[in-house]
Amino acid sequence: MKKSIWVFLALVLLTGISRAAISLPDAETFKLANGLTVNVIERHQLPLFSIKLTFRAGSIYDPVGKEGLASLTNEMLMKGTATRTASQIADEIAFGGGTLYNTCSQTAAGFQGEFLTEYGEKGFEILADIIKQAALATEEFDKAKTLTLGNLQSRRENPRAVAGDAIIEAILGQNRFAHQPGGTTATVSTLSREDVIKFAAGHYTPDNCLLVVCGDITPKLVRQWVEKYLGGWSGRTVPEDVATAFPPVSGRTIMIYDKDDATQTQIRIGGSGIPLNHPDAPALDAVGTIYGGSFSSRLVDEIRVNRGLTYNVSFQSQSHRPGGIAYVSTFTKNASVGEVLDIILAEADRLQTVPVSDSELADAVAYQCGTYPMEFETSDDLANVFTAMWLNDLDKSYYEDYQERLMKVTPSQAMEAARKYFARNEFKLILVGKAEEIKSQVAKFGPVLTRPFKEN
Amino acid sequence: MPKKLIILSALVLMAAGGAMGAEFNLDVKEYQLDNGLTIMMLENHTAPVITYFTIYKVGARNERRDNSGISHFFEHMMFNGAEKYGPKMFDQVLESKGGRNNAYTSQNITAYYEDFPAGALEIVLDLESDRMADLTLKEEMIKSEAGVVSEERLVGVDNDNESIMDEELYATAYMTHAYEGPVLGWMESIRNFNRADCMEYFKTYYAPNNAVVAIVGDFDSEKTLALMKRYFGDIPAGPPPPRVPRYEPEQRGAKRVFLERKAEHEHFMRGYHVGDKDNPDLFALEIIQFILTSGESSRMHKTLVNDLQLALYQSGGFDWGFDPSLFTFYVAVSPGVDHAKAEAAFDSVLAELTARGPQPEELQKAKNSLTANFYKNYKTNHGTAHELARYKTLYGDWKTMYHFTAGVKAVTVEQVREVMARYFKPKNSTTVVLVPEGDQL
Repeated sequence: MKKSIWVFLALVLLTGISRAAISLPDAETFKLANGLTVNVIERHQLPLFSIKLTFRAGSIYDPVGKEGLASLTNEMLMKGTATRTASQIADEIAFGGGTLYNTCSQTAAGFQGEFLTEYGEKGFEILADIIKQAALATEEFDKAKTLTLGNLQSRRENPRAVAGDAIIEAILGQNRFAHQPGGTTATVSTLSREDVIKFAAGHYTPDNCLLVVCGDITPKLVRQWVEKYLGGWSGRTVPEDVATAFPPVSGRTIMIYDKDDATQTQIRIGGSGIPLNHPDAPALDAVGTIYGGSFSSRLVDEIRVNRGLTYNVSFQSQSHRPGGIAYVSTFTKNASVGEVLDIILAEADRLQTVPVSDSELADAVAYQCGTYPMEFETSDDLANVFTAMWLNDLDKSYYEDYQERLMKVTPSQAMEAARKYFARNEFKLILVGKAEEIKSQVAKFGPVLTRPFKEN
Repeated sequence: MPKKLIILSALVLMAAGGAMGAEFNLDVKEYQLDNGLTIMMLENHTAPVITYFTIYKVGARNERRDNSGISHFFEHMMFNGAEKYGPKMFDQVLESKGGRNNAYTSQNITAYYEDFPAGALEIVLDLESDRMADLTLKEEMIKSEAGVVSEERLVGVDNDNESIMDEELYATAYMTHAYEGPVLGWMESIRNFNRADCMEYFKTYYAPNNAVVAIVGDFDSEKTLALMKRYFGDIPAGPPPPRVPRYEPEQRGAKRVFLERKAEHEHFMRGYHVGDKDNPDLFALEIIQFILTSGESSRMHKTLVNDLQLALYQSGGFDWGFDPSLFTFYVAVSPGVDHAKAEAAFDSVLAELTARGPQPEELQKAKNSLTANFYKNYKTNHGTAHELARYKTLYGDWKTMYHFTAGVKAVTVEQVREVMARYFKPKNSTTVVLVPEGDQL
């Protein structure tokens, strides 16, 4: 049996880049007769362990017109069981110094938490109770739905959240990845308790999930508790292939969400990115770092440091199996929206037409390589990594070889990635601000559509 | 509910890089240079990475009315060029070595950190000592940074209802103490900082004797101490910074502010004056914070969010400050609900805890969770370095951290009741209510 060995090897490579290379620990894996797969990773530094149970039950599995169902179902499972009320569940977890949270993304939903080792069995018992005996009671459903609708309404006070949701929707259109897991007021309003019961029965089954346990615990003990509490769990999920390729972005769409009391405008501009594990990923990460991925990036340098026009500007690339999106995110006072957009497009243009120098590329790669291992530091981090490997059919080499692939990126590959994935001529542009003060500044980019902020 | 009361007093913990032991025990090596700079080092050879934390004992409480926000502004200026590493170079040099950095300012302290591969340690010492010794503070960088901080204020406060309320709460609750002012500063002040202001501030507060350094990770303490002496030893000590007036008259009666803004629902915030970091009620207040507001098992969540559905979410807490702080609550009132109704339920939760104190199991739950949360702070080099520097700055001795679990464990039901009665009373309260424009107040 391999112990929890989280091996770092300090290497100085030919390129001169010093990095802490990573070698992920082996997980002890076993499968119960009911189909439940379990990964256990031992790490005994602290008397704690992380637990993460993940189902292929994220928001891409929402039926059309019922967006928000996956998230609401996930929440409902912790709102009481045959033997515990919602409050009792929360009390018992806290009593042992533990935590257990709902998680619902686009691709997956489940539960993640942390328990003290000495209270570990209680964690498994509660988790099993939630999964096997959720009451999904009418009263709790009504409360959860009302609360979800209230939170959706509250989210509309937040220009950052509105802009973040809107750019993804603008790029992805009708794709299943386009909507936020929480759904919208219109779709959540249609959800019934029966919808939740059906979704839970069809997705929260032992053959549709992975349990990862990482920390101060042995595989033997995990197996004992899993068999005791989750052995009698049954159910089958009919696999659904709901992921379709992301649509290409063509032309320009410029949308202002008019918030007439805003003194600052939220800006998002972008388009298509790359699918997960795409060969262009290292080149895009490298040139994305140069563009707007660090404090010393070109966008931060010009917009923040040289001109003092924003507090934060960043380029981000999000990848899923069927496709990806890539966009720039920033904000500035209403009067400087046009100037900031000019810089964003000009810097994209420069990276698309002038190769970066060897030294600028080496610095960006060194930054990525140096900070990369810090994403794998805690038991929670490792639980997330093993879950992502299962969810996306990746193996360890995806993580372990990443720095090496990054170090092989050439200036011409970086320029090619900038050409393919940086918004320049065709893009979606979202602005959340005071239309009266910003519309004239962006009219030069194309026709401008305006919507009242309330309609976001 | 579990019947067994679990007492988490015998946690076995492997301190970073240390051996398994029966007690939480960090093998920290501590030194003070002749110029007063305090250095704490904790070796952890699990991975070739290091965190370097610096905390300067200065924050918004050290400001005057005519330089509101300068502590936070100065935090930004620390990245804008020194004698050896000019403008833009701090980030460029560190990032090119695979490191990352950031900083924060509070009412009490200003903190800076770097997380980086072990091989970059000497470069980090060079960068940090350069800006502690010789910050250049160029006028054009001050002007540009004023724009950056203005944007930070616009996004973080002026266009954010909760932050606007927070600013009103502190400005109203305090009559004279510097805690009344916002950490980011008032906009007029931010736009008018000049080189003379910054230079005076630098000379007053950024001397080595007003700073502590915590280094945690893969290094050799002896060699690192020699490097620290080489890079920091020649930086002259400064005179002790001026004392901050502590005076704040006792509140004479309940205060209340109404705000009308664009909003989707009503909100309210409540503050109560409590003690400082040395307050003997500190651990009882930690217990109270947990019982009332921490997570879905808290009383406020159960009553306001779950049972009565009067609120969407709620939170609460207080700072361990050098001077008497505010214990604050925030409630996002559900759409369509009158804040007065939510406030009445909120008050009844406070009254219940004051009258009866916590249930024994509830008290034990709070102790167990606070103890677990305490240890979780030490999961990473970064977290450990932060805690070492924070405790040293606040208390003058990082070992004060060891008192936390015992302090929490000693709190009694009766003590919680007494502390509730002492602080959470109308006369000591300040309330800020925000209602959507057009709603009747």
